[in-house]
Amino acid sequence: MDKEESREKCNKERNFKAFSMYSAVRAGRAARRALDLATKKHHLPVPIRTVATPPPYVIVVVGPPKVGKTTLIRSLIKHYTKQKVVKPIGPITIISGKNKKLTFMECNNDLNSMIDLAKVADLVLMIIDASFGFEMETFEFLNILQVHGFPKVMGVLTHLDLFKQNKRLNKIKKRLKHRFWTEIYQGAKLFYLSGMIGDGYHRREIMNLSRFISVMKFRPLVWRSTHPYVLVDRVEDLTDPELVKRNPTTARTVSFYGYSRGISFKPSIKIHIPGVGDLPMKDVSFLPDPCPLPEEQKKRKLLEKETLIYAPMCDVGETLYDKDAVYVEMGQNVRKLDLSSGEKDILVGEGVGIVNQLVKAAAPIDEACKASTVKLFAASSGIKGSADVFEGVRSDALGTETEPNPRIRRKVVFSDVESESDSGLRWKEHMADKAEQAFLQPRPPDLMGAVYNTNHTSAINSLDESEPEDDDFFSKERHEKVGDQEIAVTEDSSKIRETGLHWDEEDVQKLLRNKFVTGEWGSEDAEKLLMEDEESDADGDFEDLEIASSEHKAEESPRDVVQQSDRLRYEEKVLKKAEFDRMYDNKDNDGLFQEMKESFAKQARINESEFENEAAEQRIQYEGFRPGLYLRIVVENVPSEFCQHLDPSYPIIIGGLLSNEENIGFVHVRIKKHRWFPRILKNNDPLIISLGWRRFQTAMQYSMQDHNMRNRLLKYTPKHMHCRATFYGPLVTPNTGFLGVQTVDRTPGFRIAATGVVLEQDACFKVVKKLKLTGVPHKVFTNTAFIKDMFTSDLEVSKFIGASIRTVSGIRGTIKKTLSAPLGSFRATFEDKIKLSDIVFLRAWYPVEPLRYYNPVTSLLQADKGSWTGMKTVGQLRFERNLKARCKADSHYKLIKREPVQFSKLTIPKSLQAELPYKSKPKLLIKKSEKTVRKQKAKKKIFKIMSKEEKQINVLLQQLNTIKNLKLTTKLKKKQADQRRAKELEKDEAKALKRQKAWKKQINRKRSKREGVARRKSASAS
Amino acid sequence: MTTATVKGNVLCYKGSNFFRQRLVLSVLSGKPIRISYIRAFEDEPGIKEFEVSLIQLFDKITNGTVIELNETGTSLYFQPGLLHGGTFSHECSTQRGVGYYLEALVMVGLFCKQPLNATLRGVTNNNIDPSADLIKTSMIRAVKNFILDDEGLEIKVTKRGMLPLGGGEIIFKCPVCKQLRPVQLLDSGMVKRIRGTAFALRVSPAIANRIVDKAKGVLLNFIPDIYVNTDECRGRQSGKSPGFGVHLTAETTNGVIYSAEKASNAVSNGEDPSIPEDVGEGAATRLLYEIYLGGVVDSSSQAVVILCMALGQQDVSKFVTGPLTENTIAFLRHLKEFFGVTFKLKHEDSSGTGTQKVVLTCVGTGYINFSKRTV
Repeated sequence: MDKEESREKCNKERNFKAFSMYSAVRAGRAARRALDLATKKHHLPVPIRTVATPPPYVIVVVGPPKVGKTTLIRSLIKHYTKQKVVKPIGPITIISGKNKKLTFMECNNDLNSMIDLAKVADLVLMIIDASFGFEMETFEFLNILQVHGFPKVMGVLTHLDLFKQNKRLNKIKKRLKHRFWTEIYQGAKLFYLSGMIGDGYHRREIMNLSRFISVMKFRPLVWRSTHPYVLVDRVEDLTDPELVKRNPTTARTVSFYGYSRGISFKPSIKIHIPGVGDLPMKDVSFLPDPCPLPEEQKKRKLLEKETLIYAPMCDVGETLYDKDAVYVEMGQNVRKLDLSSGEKDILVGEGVGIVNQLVKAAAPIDEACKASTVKLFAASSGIKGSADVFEGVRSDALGTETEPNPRIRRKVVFSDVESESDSGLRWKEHMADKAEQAFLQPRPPDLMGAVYNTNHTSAINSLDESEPEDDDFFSKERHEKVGDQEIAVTEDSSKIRETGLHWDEEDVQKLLRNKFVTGEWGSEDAEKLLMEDEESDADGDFEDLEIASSEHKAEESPRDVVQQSDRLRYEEKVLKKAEFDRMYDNKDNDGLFQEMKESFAKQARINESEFENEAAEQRIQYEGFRPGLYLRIVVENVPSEFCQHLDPSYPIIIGGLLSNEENIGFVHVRIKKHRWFPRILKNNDPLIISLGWRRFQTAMQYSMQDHNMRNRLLKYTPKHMHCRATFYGPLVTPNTGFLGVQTVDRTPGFRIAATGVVLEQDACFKVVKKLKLTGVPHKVFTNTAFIKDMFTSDLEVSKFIGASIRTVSGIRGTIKKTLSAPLGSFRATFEDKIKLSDIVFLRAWYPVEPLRYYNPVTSLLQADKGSWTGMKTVGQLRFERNLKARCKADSHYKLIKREPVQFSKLTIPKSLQAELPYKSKPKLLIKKSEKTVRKQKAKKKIFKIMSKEEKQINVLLQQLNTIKNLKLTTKLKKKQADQRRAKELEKDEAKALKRQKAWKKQINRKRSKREGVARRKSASAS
Repeated sequence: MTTATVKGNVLCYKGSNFFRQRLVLSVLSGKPIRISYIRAFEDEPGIKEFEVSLIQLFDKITNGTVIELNETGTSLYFQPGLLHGGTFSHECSTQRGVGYYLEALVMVGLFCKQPLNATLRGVTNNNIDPSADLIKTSMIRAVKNFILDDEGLEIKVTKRGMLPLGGGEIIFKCPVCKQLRPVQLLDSGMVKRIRGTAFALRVSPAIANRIVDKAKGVLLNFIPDIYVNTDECRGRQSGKSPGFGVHLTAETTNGVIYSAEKASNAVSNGEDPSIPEDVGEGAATRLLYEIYLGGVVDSSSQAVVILCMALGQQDVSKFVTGPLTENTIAFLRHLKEFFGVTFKLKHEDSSGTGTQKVVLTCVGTGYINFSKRTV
């Protein structure tokens, strides 16, 4: 027993799968977990818009200078094509497999190039110098990628041979790998190129890298799956050389060549060339693929002659393609091969075979069309040439010859029927025949031509040709003179007003019977079914039971009833089976996900098959130039600087614009300053923005949305937070990402200033800033006050009547009415009495419009492409000119000195005091402090109970004291009286003295007078 | 109809033809247009009142539109802004029905910034323009094929109004959508039932019954399942002028609806007064004609469907219609000029039911609602 148990246990450990159902709960959990994991893997299905021959995938090699970009491209090309490219400049297209093409492009160390290439790259090979570590450019590029949809990124570490110690190497590798992972995703592929052999990397390592490239799967990015674009791999100036010689700055006509990418390129769209601007296209045509995939073959590997390389911008491969000629480069000489003449034997050299083959393929498309045949019907012979397609159809289907005479094309479907109004009652004759004729009328030839070829202005199979019988309000045949020509005027209405045939006729009614469920529709006719049913007791076909049933009921027999019940049972069974299948047959059982995928797949099948059999020209007319075609785009009025300063190492991209995207308006975005950018961004400072295909400079107006959706202006961006911004620029689809840089030149430090996403666009946006108007009261009543100094005129006041105002202390009020004097003053009411010293505020919002500044970055027109400068910031200008910012004296912050407030003493009226409760009454005595109370308590007297003797002693002592006191008082009284008397004496003496003095004075004066008289007398006597 | 000449970014047209189509497409594509020689050599030169009203309507639903009209009104420069939508009301000119304006709104309504809630006042039923009922049953129905979520897409006739004074009112509500989806509809099915509404405004209510009787009389030859309502409009609901009319729909097994209608003549315009029986018969025969023409949409919605196909995603859409009306053909040409879309037009081998059908195939332009805001 014990042994068995242990064996079971052992088995369980060994073969755990066999015991998975031990616990239902655990199994349930496991199932749930498995489903969770499966659902986690799902991505939202996207519409499939792949084409049979896709354009070559763009592989961009990025990295700071001197890390080995060129060496890597050279090694890869060597690996694929066995050819040596000395200087890989511009896009290089090669064939990498039996059904795969690749375009390599090196990204130079220029922010403009980095931005442009990030928008077209399918795979980025990010080269990092391991001996140095990550450089700013790498992170800048990663951030650019993130904003413009993240294509696949593969890191490549180079310069690993510079490490002498293995341990250190491994450490560095690990560190770089983890940093790389945090930037992209955990487990992102990082390649190690251990070192150079000769002038390239190890063959083995390059082969591994190429294998990784070949199995790479590319998920469609949103912007690229809604916009057509071309990575230009060849540019040709078509301007008349004579004109250029005469005036070197004349606008050029340039043809661009490249593979159509993204979605199909329509000739009617507008294009934008980043670095140049919006340009109108003159002509778009497609050329045979210069790098065609090999024909169908059995071999696994590519033959050596099939590994083509196409790089017109660098000196490799000897062939160049033009619209109607192929240029073969043979050293210094360029020979033109005229295709119309059949000379093909003059070439010598290694590319002869290829060239000959290509020359054959490069026949003009009309010739190619003529040569090709399309079989529309199995029986018919192939139809030649596109122009004849419609005729072919006609003659095949109808077996009648139709002349290409436009008069016949004028024929109208109901012409014979509709002419009835003027022919009186004659229409009734041969009604059935006529109806039949109308029915079998030869189909109008070439419907497309009739609609789109404007020469047939009115010759259309349209309904509105006849005169309506009852509506003569608008006469039909009106004409309007338009300049020098006359055109027919038709009523601008979608409603048709004629009634067509005469439906009360039995014959005519027959035409319509079958459009109703009650009609007779051939084999599925109810009566016939019934007949068949009775004949053969079949139980299979029940489709039209409900239709047949109405007829059935009339002649139901018991046999029928039995049959019917059988049928019903069968039907029920079928339904149940279908339901069961639907529930359990679906292997993935993902419901909605599967459904979506299926619907996309179905649409993709329709897209692919719909125009498959059309002639090439027709197909292009309907679809546009589908991705994968090699296009030649002729653009007029290209600035001459573009040709003069053309540098193939800078990418040229032709981006297609959707309708509306050529227009300019205000764009509202959510923006965040990049956390690695050292400064915050200032409102209305110019910023270079990469949005959609475009790079342009514009002035950003930052704002923040309040809770009530009001956008408040910000002076600076927040440091680590999103904010809103509005700028004037081209419209793009909402939800498109963008990035902003302050300069595109090679400044040190992290250059990406901000990133964000477009929220909406409009012709105007309301961004407001706070405005506080202040005033002071000049007269105050109880709740009313007259306020002045807030406005300067009556008109201003009248605009603000009813507005709410507030004092500093928080008393709210409203503006009521203007006052005549002083100017701009008004009457306002408040919820309480305000003080004359109050300040009254009015809080308002002032709308601010962003600057209407939009300036495309025309870097490709510069001689030095990295040195484009647009509008400078005020700060920059000040710095350059060594200026200081202007400042108003009263804007300075000063230390505020405030006097302590002196409050007057509080006095309570007596009447009020009387009414107050004791608690609130002002107290006359000052409340003693506890300390004094305690002291007093301590000082309290101690009374003694005295004995008789003590009492007697006390009495005696008191009596003695009394006597003593009396003596003292009498003494004191006597002394006081003496003193008083002495004082009075003194007073009297002083009086007497005074009197004596006065007497003396008088006597002396008289004496001196007398003496004087005597002296004069004596003098006169003498 | 003249073709456009392109001057820079501006499409230049001559003549008064298809004024509405050009404005609608201009607004949707964002391309400015210039129309010259508008009735330049006629007794009453320049654009008419109803066209002015249309321009005003476009001014209401867009933001940033620039309209320049010369003194005589014979030349118009129209630079469209962005579609805004929202709630508004519009007094339509009585020269044309409300349908004239409503059709334009149906075409642009899905691409507004805010859901449309438009109140249009004027003549709801006349014999030139499709009535609100017709637009509801045919155009709205057609548009619903192209959008996933059609909640809130509705037309309500709150008051009916006839010529000459009008006084009718309709409310059109339309949600916004980001993109239209591709649609392949090739099978119309068989007509299974006929429904309708007859109305008599400011005349004896018995007239509505007379219309119904006659219309049913004609249609009963084909199918027994017919039910025609009589819409009682009393007081203000019946507008300012007397009149009557009927609107009929035929629904097929595949859910396709053919609609037809007829209203009484306006005596004030110098037309003969209508007899209710004639109106009933006229509407019924028109309905039969629509069924005869066939297709997956009826003739009046062809342009709307074509627009939705052209503005859809970059996928193939397919539709079957009856013979193209002149209006539709003009629309196809305009679409090519504004959006560069060429339709593949092919006659279908109709299996003995009605007229020769046309299969319209096109690849959508991948039009995206530019005005819609994201969160």
